[in-house]
Parts: sequence; structure tokens; C-alpha cells
Amino acid sequence: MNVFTSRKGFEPSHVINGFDWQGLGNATVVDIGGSRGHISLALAAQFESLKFVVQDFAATIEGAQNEVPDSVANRVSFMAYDIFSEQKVAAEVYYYRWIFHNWSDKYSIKILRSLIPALKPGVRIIINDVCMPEPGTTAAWREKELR
Amino acid sequence: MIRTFDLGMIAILNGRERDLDEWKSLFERADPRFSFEGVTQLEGSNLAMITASWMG
Repeated sequence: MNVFTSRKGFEPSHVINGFDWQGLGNATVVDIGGSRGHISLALAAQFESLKFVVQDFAATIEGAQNEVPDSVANRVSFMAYDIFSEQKVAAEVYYYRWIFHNWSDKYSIKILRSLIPALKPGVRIIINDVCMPEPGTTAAWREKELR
Repeated sequence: MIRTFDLGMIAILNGRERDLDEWKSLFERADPRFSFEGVTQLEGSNLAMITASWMG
């Protein structure tokens, strides 16, 4: 999975700096489709008041708990979960990294609706994914790369 | 480059890349109680932070 985090433009530092994680205080973050937890581990190391539940296929997370560094082991856990099934974990943030771009609107809407039974007012949903810039609003070299 | 991914994803998975209005629309269509907050695009990052909150 390193291939997805070590390439330029995909570094975990952008996730750390792209949202006010500190401002959440004592909170639980569910990292849906989080694979073996590379992003949750990076965030847990940085923000000591946050707990993380990484959800992914059972086969994907198998053994992942054993690889968690001791320093964050009490704040990062793994759970087998299918993204279309009803969300059972209550949390302050539900985070999806590079998930929605794989799905058409029909299925993306199903994924979002699966959260609803667990949601309380004020809960945040963060989708970490590509947002296409409007034509002409970004540097030409960058736009060429994107399009 | 991402458009190329996009074509690949439509062909293989029927997935897609979305712009700001499309992300907003996705939340609105999922449920009107999702409140779209906006998109944070950090310099040098290929992935944006697209956020919404639940109004309940």
C-alpha cells in the first residue's frame, strides 16, 4: 500500500494539514476503506486526543493490528466492514480516502446513506479525493497534468 | 493525467472524478440533512479534503 502514500502529491502530511484535527478534541474518527491504516496511524501519531477505527475487508485488515506501533496501539483499532452496510460505529468524523472516485453517483449515494443510522448532529464527513478544478482556475501546467 | 484515470475508471468501474458542484450535489442527493461545507485543496496535494456535516 506504500505505493498509494509515498508518491508525490499523496503524502499523509496533506491529510494532517488539510483539516483542523486538533480542534476535534477527544474524538473518534472512522477511517472507512482505510486499508491497513497508514493514514490513521499518521494522524494518531500527530494528534493524541484522537481515536481511530479503520474499517476495511476482513482479508485486508488481517494481522494489521499487530503492526500498529505501541505508541498508538491503544488508539487505533481495526474492524471488518463493507462500505455499503449500515454503519455501527458512533464517531465524530467519518473519513474516506480515495474511495468515492471508484464509484458512480448511484453507489456513492448508497455509501453516504449507509452512515445515516450512526450520525448525530454536528458529525463531520470528510472525503479525501480528487476535486477537479474549474477550467482556467489553476496553473496551466497543473491543469494539463489533471486533464 | 486524472482525465485519463477518469476514462479508465468509467470503462472499468463506472467511477469518476468530480468537481466542486458535483461533490456538493452528491451530498444533497444522498440526504438533505448533509450540509456541504466545502473543499480544501492543499498546495502540492493531488487529493482535496471535501467536507460535510450532519444536520440531524
